Amino acid sequence: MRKLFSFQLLFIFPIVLVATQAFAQEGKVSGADSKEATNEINRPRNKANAVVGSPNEPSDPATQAIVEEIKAQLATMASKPLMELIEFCKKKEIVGDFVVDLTVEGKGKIVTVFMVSTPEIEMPKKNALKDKLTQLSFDNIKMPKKERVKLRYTFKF
Amino acid sequence: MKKPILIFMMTLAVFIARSQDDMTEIYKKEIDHSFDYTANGNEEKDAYSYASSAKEVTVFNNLTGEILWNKKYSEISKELGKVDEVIPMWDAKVIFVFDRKMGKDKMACIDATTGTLLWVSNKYQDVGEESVIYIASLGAFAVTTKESLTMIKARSGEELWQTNKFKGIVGAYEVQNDGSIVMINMKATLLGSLFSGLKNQIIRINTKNGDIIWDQTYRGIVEKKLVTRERLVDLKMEDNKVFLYMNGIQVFDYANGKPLWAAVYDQTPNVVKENGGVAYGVVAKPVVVGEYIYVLDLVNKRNQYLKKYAIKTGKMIWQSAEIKDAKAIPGIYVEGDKVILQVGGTVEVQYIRKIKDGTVSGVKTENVKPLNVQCFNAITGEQLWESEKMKKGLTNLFLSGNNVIVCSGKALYSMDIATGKENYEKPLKEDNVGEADQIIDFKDQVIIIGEKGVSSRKKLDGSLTASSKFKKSTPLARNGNILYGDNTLVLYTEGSDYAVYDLNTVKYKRFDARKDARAYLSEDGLNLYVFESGTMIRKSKVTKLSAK
Repeated sequence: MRKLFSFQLLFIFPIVLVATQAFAQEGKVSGADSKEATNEINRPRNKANAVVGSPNEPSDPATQAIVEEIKAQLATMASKPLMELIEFCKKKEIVGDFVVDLTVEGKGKIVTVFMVSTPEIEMPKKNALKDKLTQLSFDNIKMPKKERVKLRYTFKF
Repeated sequence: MKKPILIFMMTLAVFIARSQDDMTEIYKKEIDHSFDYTANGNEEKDAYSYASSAKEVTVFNNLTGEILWNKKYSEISKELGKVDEVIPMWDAKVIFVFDRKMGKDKMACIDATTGTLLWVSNKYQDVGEESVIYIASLGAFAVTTKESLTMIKARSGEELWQTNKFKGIVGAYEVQNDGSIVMINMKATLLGSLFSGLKNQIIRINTKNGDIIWDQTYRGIVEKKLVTRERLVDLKMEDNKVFLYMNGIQVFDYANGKPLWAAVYDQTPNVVKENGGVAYGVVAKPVVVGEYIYVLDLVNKRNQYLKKYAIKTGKMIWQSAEIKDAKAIPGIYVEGDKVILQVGGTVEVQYIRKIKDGTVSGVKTENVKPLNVQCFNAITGEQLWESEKMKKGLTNLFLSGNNVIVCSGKALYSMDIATGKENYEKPLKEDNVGEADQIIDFKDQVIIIGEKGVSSRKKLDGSLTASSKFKKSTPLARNGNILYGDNTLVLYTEGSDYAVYDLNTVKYKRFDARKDARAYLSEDGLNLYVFESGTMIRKSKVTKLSAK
């Protein structure tokens, strides 16, 4: 039985590896200025400097897991800060699809927000949303100190 | 009867003499309000200047003097009351104004050509001139606050991105062609740097989306001059390396931010006794020649060395013998295989003194002793000669061909670089411009800026060629330069009298403005703009004069 399991592992592992790489390739940030509203990720791999890596760099499984966790939280909007975000947008009458690049570090704190594309709304509202997004943080995230992940997400308010 | 005629003749003679020397007026414009804030743009077709009080601003075209617009700040935006600071952003053609109220600063961005409000915000607190960087390629401003860095579209106020990874105000920056910017942070005050726990950051950031490409720490504290607030730091990018000049040099890899090498000393020693004063220019900036850099290392007040490093590797090629007892080394000069050091001499002193009713501040120069000139072999670091001829005074020096031209304030010297042998010593008494404050290398002449005028002498033999006495005065600087165009220099007195010198002839034209007037000479040295703020009795005015 154990032998069979080992054999299966040997067989399955390369397939998983190839699939992961293919997935990672799809996950490239297609350019900072891109208006494409896809949810893409990028985590820096240059650990020596702990800096944001090239946008074309494929992400590793650990990064994927973190990004998936963040995206899951964004999709459910269940945490307190995210519920506050919804309330905030309702109160300010902020409506539409907002494509945003978020850079998250450490224990889930947002450090950089880039408004990739936004609907035609009043400037103060747009700026207020960006401010609110910079205050967000995510639960259950733990990254080595100084490491960051970057993801693209479309908020639909 | 004879006496009145004599007086009349003398007055006429003085008038004729004066009128020959006066600058020609191009235009004069009256302005309907007094002003405390002025700025003068360049000489291009659409260039403009402004004169602003706390409540009202007037913008005019530099070329024609036409008033482009005049408005009260309250007309521009109801959110603006009394303005406390005005910052021109020439490239962006906007003016930033700040209405500062404790913790409720308002920052407004105004179209400089029309006076239209572009946007106003109370989000950016404690922002000053050094906190705003214009990125022309994006048409946007990077604004730093103590919490974050935000990129704002200049015309709309739209915030493109914000990052909390850069904190503090910008100490120095360099915008790169690849769309990134390298910048270092600093705290607003020196005390703040020591006690805030602010991390020294040098970062490279993608201006398009706020991505931090790399983030490193640098050593030291960015100092600002006491009165003029200039920052004593310089950032340069060369050969895929970032050179940070601040109490020595620190080198980083441009691609990944990795620190490559450094030659730094802790802090510039204060060598002046002026009450409340701090000296600047005490230690010469490093000098780069080819693949090498010459840096002074101040181990402590008494132990100082000259060092030569290879720029690429940071390898120290040599260290000189101790430069004994030097309190100031304001100049390093390299010519061929010789390095000349100026030990002691004129340094800038800025002071803020407490007086009975408040404080008094100013900028002056002071001579720091001991004084001498030393020469080292650039290949080996061995000292070749030392001259103490200028024991009593030393303003500055420059190298010219095979000679070092040095001024002691009272005399001009030329010495052979190779041997230190004196070519000549010329007393400056016959120049009749008072004691020399500074000498400038100008064609085949040495220009001597004296306490009361300018003279010139031949570099070759030190003979006097021309001299024009003015009054007790100081050179007018623009962006740190005192030489305008090819051959123009301006002196001004405390009473706001201006003399614009043509250094080819060492003759000047003058304009006597009202006390406390402000003036700007155009960078080409052709036009002088004089801003004279008015009172209840006298109107405010701006005069453009031809300096030629």
